[in-house]
Amino acid sequence: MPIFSPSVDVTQWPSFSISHWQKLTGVNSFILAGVTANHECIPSFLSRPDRVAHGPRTYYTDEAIQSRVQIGISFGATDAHIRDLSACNDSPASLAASYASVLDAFNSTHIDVLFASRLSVNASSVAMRAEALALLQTGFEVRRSTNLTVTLSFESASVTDGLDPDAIAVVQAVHDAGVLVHSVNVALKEPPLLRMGLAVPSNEPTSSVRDRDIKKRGFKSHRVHKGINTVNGQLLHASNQDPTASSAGMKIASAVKKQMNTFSNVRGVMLVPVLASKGLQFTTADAVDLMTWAETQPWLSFGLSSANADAEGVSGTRKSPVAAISQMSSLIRIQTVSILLILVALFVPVWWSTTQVHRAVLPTDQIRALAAAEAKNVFHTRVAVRFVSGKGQPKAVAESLQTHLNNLFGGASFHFAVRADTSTEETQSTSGLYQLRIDCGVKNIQGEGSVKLFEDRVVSLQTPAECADTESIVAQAVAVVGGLFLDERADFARISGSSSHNNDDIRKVKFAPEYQLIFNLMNADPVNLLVSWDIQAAIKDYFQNFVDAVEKLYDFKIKSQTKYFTSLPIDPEVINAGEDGEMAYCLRPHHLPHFINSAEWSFGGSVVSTAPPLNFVVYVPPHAQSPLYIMGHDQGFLKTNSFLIPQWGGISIVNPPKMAPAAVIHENGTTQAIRTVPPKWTLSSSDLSDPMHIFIYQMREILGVKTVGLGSTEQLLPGFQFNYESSSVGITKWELDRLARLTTIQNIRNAVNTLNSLITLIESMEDMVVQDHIREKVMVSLNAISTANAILSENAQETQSPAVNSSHDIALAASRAAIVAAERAFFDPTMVSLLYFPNEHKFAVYMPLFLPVGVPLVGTLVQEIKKRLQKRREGKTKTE
Amino acid sequence: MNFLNWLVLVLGAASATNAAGGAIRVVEDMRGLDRAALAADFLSAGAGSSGGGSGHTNNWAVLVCTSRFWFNYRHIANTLSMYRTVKRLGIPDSNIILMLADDVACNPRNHFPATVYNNAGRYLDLYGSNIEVDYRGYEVTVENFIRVLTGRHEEHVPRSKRLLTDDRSNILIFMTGHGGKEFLKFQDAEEIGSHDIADAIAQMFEKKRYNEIFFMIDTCQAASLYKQIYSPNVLAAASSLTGQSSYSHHHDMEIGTAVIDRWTYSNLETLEKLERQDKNTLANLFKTYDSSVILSDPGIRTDLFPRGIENALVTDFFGGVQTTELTLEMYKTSEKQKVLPADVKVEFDGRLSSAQKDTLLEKPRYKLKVVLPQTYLINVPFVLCFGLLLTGVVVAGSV
Repeated sequence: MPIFSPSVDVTQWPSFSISHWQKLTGVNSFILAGVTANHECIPSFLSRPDRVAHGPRTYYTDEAIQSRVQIGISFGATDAHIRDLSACNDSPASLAASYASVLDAFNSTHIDVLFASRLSVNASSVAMRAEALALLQTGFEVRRSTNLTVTLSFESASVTDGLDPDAIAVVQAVHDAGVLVHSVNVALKEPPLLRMGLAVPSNEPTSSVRDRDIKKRGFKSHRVHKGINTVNGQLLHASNQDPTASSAGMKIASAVKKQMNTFSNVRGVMLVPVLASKGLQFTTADAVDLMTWAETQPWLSFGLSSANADAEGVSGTRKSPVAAISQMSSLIRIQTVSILLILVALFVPVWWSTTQVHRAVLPTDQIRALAAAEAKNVFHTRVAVRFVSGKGQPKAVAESLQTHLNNLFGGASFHFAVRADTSTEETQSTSGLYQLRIDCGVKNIQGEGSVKLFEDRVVSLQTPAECADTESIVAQAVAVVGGLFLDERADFARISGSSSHNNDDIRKVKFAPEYQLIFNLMNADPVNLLVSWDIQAAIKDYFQNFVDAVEKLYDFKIKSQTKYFTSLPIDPEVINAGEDGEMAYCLRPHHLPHFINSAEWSFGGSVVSTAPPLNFVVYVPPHAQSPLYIMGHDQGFLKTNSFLIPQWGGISIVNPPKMAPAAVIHENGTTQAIRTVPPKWTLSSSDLSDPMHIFIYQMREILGVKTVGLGSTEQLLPGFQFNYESSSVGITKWELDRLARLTTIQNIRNAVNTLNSLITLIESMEDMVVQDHIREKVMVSLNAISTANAILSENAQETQSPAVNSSHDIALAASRAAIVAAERAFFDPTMVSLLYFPNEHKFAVYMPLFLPVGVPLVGTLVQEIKKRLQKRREGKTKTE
Repeated sequence: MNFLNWLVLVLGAASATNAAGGAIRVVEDMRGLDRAALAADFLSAGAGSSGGGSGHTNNWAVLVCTSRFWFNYRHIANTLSMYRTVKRLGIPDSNIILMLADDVACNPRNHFPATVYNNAGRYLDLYGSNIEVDYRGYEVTVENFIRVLTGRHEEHVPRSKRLLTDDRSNILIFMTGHGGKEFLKFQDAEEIGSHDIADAIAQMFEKKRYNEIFFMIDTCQAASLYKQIYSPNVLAAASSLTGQSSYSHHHDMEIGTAVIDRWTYSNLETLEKLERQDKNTLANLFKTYDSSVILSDPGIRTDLFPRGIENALVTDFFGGVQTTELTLEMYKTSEKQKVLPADVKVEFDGRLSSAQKDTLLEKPRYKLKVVLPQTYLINVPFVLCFGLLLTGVVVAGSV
């Protein structure tokens, strides 16, 4: 018999498969336990019909023969209602025949008789079984010319001081019958979970592992390694290190051996410690201890000389079990360490790199510095002084003017370079270059001078002062030029303050490089009047010049549409218009917010373009509500008949000419047509002149155009006449420049703020993906900001050549690029940090992986460390 | 203002006497004027901000129904009811982002095709009038919702699908669907977490995309969803506290499902009575909540809303504000025939030069693969299989 034979109680474990077990463990011998008599008194594993579904006997027989393993048969009964074979046989001969039939069926040469209960140690039954065994053993030699190995198992016996008297009586009976007993098996504890047998040296060295109740515990965690049962799942982790267990085992073995000395037929004692069961806790370590001890006992050792050459390849390689076990544990250590290493060295990088979120490195410090720094942008402005008449001293005036202007502004917002312009040619008008024409010695009717602001970056000063009176001229020139730019400082201060909103801001639309300009003709009553308009000509005549003039700031896509049946969601008040007692309809200011019928008038703008739309509406009221007027706060009709919706656009009501209605709607709901075709009314370009000029006014409000005036100069130069030339296109160059400068500063500020917000977000959201193109956009924006800042820095070099683009324009273009790139970076579609992925979620996701892999590994690791520590401690105590 | 007038007058008088008194004097006088202007600006700004109003100039609404399938009829009805209300109170369609995960009106199980009712009496067809659904069906995803809030869209997304708000926008966010503790399901396929909502709002705040937000949510354990919000000027209201369920209000036996949820119903009872200029505050609205009717305790979070619910009008969020200004004049262009030529438009080349690229775009030390967050989940089975495979190899080799 090999060292360890699992003893399998198939009544407990009906689905046991010999071939599977063999494949799994490499064990080549088994003891099938639990053969009893069924109700027909036929020996069977089927002691409980409910336990085994298929015919077990034939099944196991076939399987045993097919898998060519050695089978030992264990007969017995463990409790009262399971019948012992002896109860079904009336004579030892018939019992022996019953035994033999089972043994033959399995071609077995090992019989184990179990005495587990009071029933099975009943004296007559014991005697009969002893007789039967004797007959069987003799018969075997005769019949099969082999030896029958007989073992006796005691499970229920109290074994603390050796076998109890009942067990001794059984051994005595067997002895009296002349049976040669291979070993007396003593279980150390009930119920047996796993028993490891130790055998005395004999010709047939035997040891076995019994595994009962194995189904409940889960067989799959048991692994047999090279023929040695290393029970992985439970036993490796059994932490109880009861030092008495192995010594108790030794004591019992010695006691039983002593008892057995009186029986000459008993060759040995098999000690069957129950591992990891309750009570006397046995661990692998105990088993190893016992085995080690057994090797030192001449009567209790593992006879591994393969005298019983069952060498199916397995036993041949066997060494001492102690050596095998220690080799095994070192193998486990190697396995543990290598798997851990693989996990750490391979999985961690793979996991880390595959779950890594890509985050391009952004120039955080640079952006933070920009955001923290106070904006100190200075527009380098050139002023050319030209004396129109008289012999002034342009150079002296220019020098003095420059000093005083720079003194006035103190280096904030503007820096002036004033030069004398003695040429007579017209210079090309560029932003940042202004001309001051001085006409000295000229008086108006009041005896004072006058100032005229021309559209094209020219301001002229007619002064009563003598041409030679440089000081007076300079004083007035400072007042004029300074007054032109002083208001802007307040604008800039407001931007850097950035806290307060004022009304201008409410009106003003947010800067965008492109707008959709949509002209809408709303015809409320096409049944009575068909209105059409020559909008293309009107735009060309009145609006195109304005659009062209602001082109350096914004691009416009101009569209127009006509909408019909655009009824108002509000009812205008009916009033008597006074003059000829005619009825008129009027809208008061509180009506106007509900003027737009947003539910039914679709403005929308282009579906394709994402540029913000600006809407301008010409509203033609229905016949039933015309003429329609807007009443001002002063109870008078507005001449313009228009109003503005901040950031949205403007609306102008154009009343149709008086005409008889084309149809009358009667009270009962029927429509009676008076004319079949409604009259047509075409708004020509000149008809649209008023609305268009209103729209220009509203457009200026919406874009935030600020009038350039000489308000403070007027206070400083009393008596002077002030004239302002209005623009032919809707915006003077002075206003354009002012708007451009404001936009430049705003764009730079907004771009910096946007980048700063972006950085803050990226830093606060760790799962946010930041791709390389975001980085590039940020860099482009930063580049543009620094370009603009460099141009607008205090010590920037002036470009004197008029052929080169004005520095103001370059700064504007750069600021535009900066804000566009910054917004693109911020609103990039890939910047959506999709889902909050907290650590506990990650843990939950990886749990199914980590737990099954991790727990055995960590367990083994802990065990190894404990062993190491224990060894060290032992080593210490030894040295002490 | 008297003080300022006085200041200007004094300065003006001073300057008049010194008109010819040298440029230095003029400079001094102008400085005085400048200071006066700045001071006036500062004072008026201060006066403006101390006013109690909301300070918004436009209203937006994001209305989201996250539930699919016929038996979630009531969620669509909830959302459409809110849609009808805000539209009635003046928020234009262009300012409403309506997300409906299902189209129950066209569901073959709908006994009344092309209608959605929020009452068993079927008084009001929510679907019949002009409705504009911006995101429908499978477009209603967590991703799209977050894109709407943060404004990060693909370039081709039209303006009507974008939340084009600014720092003067008041936003009403209404969400309804099936949720649980700190999550709300989208379409039975994914879910949004309370952290996602909080982060999205934080991003909006960072980009100044709102003035105030009123976040309403009708779902089970709704209060847990606004718990994580940390951005200022956000008011939140929820149908139920954490740990409580929210319930439907009543069934329509012919439609065969519940038609509205209790909390939404309770809100609508108040909102339906309001007119555009109504001066009722949100505190009044919250007072109408009756836990015994709603069957859950509505949650209200005000700690991020310093203005206070007593000062916030219902119409600050549900109504559309429209400021208008009378245009008193038109722009008189000069009659000159000659039109000045437009300024030359300077093009700024924003591209980085290669040298700049080298210095500025310093390459990261490790070239990492770009992994979007979704692919997290793909990695798990991969690592799992890989791990099992390797363990198997090791074990097989050692046996």
